[in-house]
Amino acid sequence: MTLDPELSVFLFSLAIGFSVGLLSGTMGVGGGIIMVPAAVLILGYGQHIGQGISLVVMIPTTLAGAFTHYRMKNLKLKPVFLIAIGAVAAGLIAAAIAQQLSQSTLQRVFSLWVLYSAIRAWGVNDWIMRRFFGKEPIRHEEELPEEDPLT
Amino acid sequence: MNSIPLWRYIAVGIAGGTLSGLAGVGGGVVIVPLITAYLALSQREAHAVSLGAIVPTAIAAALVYALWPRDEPPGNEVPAYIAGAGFMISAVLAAPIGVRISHRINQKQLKRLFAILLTAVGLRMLLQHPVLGNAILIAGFALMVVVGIWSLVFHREEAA
Repeated sequence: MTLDPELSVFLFSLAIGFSVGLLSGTMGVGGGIIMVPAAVLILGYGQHIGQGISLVVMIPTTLAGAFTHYRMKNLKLKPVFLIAIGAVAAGLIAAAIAQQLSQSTLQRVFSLWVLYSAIRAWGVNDWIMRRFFGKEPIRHEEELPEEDPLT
Repeated sequence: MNSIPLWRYIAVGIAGGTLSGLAGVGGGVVIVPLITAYLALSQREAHAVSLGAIVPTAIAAALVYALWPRDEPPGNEVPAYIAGAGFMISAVLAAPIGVRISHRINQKQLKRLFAILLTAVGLRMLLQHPVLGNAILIAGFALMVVVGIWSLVFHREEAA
């Protein structure tokens, strides 16, 4: 039995989309990190078409995730609006500049920043502060009391 | 959160938008660590704010993509909207499930899961190697699934 190409692309992206949604919802990301490689490497679309698909899919996906957070009383609207103002303005300018620059070099430079965030998220700098400077890290988690979202 | 000046929120947005626009990566990986570091929100609240802030950013970026003409072969003869529709249907259904999962895992484990994601994404960006980079990404996702299930069983949110 052979599937026609349109149906096989649809079924494959339907299957991958589920993991995109799960990652986006749990981690608060857009999901491009799965969609772009899947569209380019497995489905064979060009890089820019893959990024375009990813951006369009991201809009309703993150909206659904944000709405669920909102219903569970976990979404603060003030930071969303203020961050979005800065991010949209800067993102447009940066994307226009990026057209003239080498994408792989830029990615390599910014990967250092992502890896630095990773080190922070693993708690390495908290550990250094505690071990060598005797300072307790600030814990936002405990400052804000958790409320049962369903009550 | 009233002690934090307004400009700091906008600065986080500008930093996140610049990094994601230049590097071509989605906002979340960049914005979530900035929010937890500078805006005194918990890990889970940072994820929520990040999702909310990605919506307008992705709309703007998608418009730029649509309006910017390119002479690139599509690569696949199947129209791109078919792949987009497939991704969209299941991703929109799965995102609320993901959010509910994030509410059932305690903040410390959630941060650990995010750390795995950041490490995998960062290494992939640094190495720029077609095979090794994607192998790291897949290994990272597999580890996240294992740690995620582990967290759901042993590190549940007490309130939920």
